[in-house]
Amino acid sequence: MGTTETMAHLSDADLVRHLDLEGDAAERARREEHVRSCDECAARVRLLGHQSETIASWLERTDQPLPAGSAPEAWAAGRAAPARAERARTDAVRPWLRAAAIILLIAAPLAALQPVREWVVERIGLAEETGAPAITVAEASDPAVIRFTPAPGVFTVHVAEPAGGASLAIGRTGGEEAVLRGASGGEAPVVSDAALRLAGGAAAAGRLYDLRVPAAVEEVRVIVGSRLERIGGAELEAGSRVDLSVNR
Amino acid sequence: MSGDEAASFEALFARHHPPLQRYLARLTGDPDLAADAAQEAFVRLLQRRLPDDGVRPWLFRVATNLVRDAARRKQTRHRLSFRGRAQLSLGDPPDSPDAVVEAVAARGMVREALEALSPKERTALLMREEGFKHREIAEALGTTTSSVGTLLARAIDKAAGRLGPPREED
Repeated sequence: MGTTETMAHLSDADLVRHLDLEGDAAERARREEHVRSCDECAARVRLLGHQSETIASWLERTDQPLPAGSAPEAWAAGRAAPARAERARTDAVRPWLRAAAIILLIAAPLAALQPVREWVVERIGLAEETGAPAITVAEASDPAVIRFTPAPGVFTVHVAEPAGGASLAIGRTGGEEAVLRGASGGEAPVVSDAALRLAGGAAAAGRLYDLRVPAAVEEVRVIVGSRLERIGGAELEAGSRVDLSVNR
Repeated sequence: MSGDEAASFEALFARHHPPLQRYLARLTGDPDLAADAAQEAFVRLLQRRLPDDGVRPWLFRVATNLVRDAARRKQTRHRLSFRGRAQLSLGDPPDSPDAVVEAVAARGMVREALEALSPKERTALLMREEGFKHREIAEALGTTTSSVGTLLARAIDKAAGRLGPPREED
């Protein structure tokens, strides 16, 4: 071990990364070399390692016995939901529904958009919005887009992520039924009261949907890939529109 | 659906369900909520096509969001049910009253230590316990890989500081 007098120490974050063997070979070698020559960092690594073992020991010792899950039950439930959605997709198209959605989007007061957009950009750092009404399939060059138009009791949802990874959840009061209505005119119940999956599940990318929520919306949570974003009910003014364009 | 699909799903379930449920129980302190969320995550898994190596982080991420949403919607009830459960769900009954008292106290200490962390710190710490890489933790939390180290360092310090060395089991 060497002296530490003139040496910049590694941060705790770096030391945890060192402990967890994170980073590429060069990064690991750099940290290893530093820890070998720095008494203080070496001591800190030992402490973090000891603390990690302590926590693991406590967790293991106090784990509660848990019931075995049921693969057949999950299988049956998982197969039931897409079947319902498939029925909805194969029903006859209702042109009026699409037209109504388009009118709703175009008629949304533009003045109401800016505060919401500013909020979105400020709070969750989204990419610059297009400013165009979200009524058609997203362009291939911008695949990770979720667009929805909140209005009292009705959401028109446009999912434009073809490869999955997107979902949208509507917070609502318990016991009330939310219904997903596809552009085809069919209906499918919301998969669960916790979340509505819109990509690869009950809904398909590049289509318009109305999500009819009979209760006042408390919050909208949008999940794109691993990002979870929340928009509180207060920001969802009736007739306003939010475009989320997420960089990937 | 084919028999192969069902068998493949059962194999995934057998491999990932126990650790997922354990993680969720640690995260929430509520075994029932953990069981429900784990089951729901697998239901949703069936509606997706994921590469094998993407299944585990996806399950943990989705289940984490499920319990987070559930907790927010039922905050009061959840808190109450957790308090009741800490005294009731002790698993195999210990032999002596002293052991019961000790088990309750130990579980309460761990719960308090975890509750003292921010939700992100708690999630990061418990996902690390399950062997996830920082990149996967970052994806679950919607943050950067570099910030996971900071979250973990803080979580380790806080939790270990509250817990101290575990007592030897009898």
